[in-house]
Amino acid sequence: MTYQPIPVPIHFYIYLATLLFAIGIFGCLSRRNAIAILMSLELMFNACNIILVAFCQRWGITFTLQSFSRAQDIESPVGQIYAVFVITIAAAEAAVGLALVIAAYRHYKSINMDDINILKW
Amino acid sequence: MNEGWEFAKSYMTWFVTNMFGEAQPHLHFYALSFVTLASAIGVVIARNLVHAAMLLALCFVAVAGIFVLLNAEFLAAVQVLVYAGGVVTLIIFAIMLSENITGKQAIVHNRQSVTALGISVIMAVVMVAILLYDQSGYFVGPTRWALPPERNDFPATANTLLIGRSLMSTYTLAFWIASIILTIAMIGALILAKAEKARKEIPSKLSSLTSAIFPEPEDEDAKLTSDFMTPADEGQMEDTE
Repeated sequence: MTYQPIPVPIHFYIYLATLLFAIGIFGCLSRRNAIAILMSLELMFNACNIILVAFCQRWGITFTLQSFSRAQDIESPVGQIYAVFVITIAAAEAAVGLALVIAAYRHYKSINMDDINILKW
Repeated sequence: MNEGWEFAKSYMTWFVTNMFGEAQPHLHFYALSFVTLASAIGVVIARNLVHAAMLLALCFVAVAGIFVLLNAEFLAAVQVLVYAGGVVTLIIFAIMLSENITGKQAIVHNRQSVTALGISVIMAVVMVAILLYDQSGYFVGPTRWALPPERNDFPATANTLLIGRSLMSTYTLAFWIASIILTIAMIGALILAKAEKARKEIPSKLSSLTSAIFPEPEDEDAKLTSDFMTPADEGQMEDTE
């Protein structure tokens, strides 16, 4: 008898991503430090990536890939490609956001978000 | 609500039998998600920002493990390289450039933290409820998210091969746009992070560059007057006028 691993049900991944997203929202709304807010944003990006990959795994199209002499059933990796783009944009966002934080620190001598209130009504 | 409570009880029973019984399926998933959630909570409540960044790296590595469970090996490698390698390094550099590490903040959360907690809990509850209840408000449970029997074993994924092929064929336009966005973000981050003095020199450098490429056409009349007119002549002209 061969060992067949039982696949994890897909709603477990959804619960995990939901909790991660909620933690990220809490950090984003409640932290005072700008860099900590950026870190919470990264947590939310990760939750989105987990959801994308899990849904791709659950509802992804299966097609047959014909190699030279063999054919095998293959899952379409659309969700993973979306996740790759999300990671790309998140990296760009982190670079620009941290540059903005450093520029703001140079101007205000603080990265406390309560001090940067020039646009407040 | 009663169905929800019954479901929660059966879920707890199921969890206990599976965790402490003989068969322990999904134990890897539980371990990875525990590490992910615990380190995420640590990121949110840590007082020292460097500790928060380290916990963020741990969270990223655990999420990479979850990607491996989902048959996304390429994505796991990218996650470790880009997030745990690049973004965390960037964040640590930003912390070192901007904050006095030894001076820890006494209060890390602002005054709206209770509201923020409420909002995040409500969001989590609503998102899970959307999964468990159908459109007309009946409890259906997670059975509709269970795998159909014919999909119970995932087919093989030639992951990296397929992703590379798709990026170069179907999603080429998105790939180009992503690369352009990365270039723009890099230039923008450089200009934003430059010192104020250096940033003011950029327009003059740019104008000297453009004048080197496109030299301004010389004004013929002005050149003639400046060559052949002496200051005395200019005075005469003013007199006549």
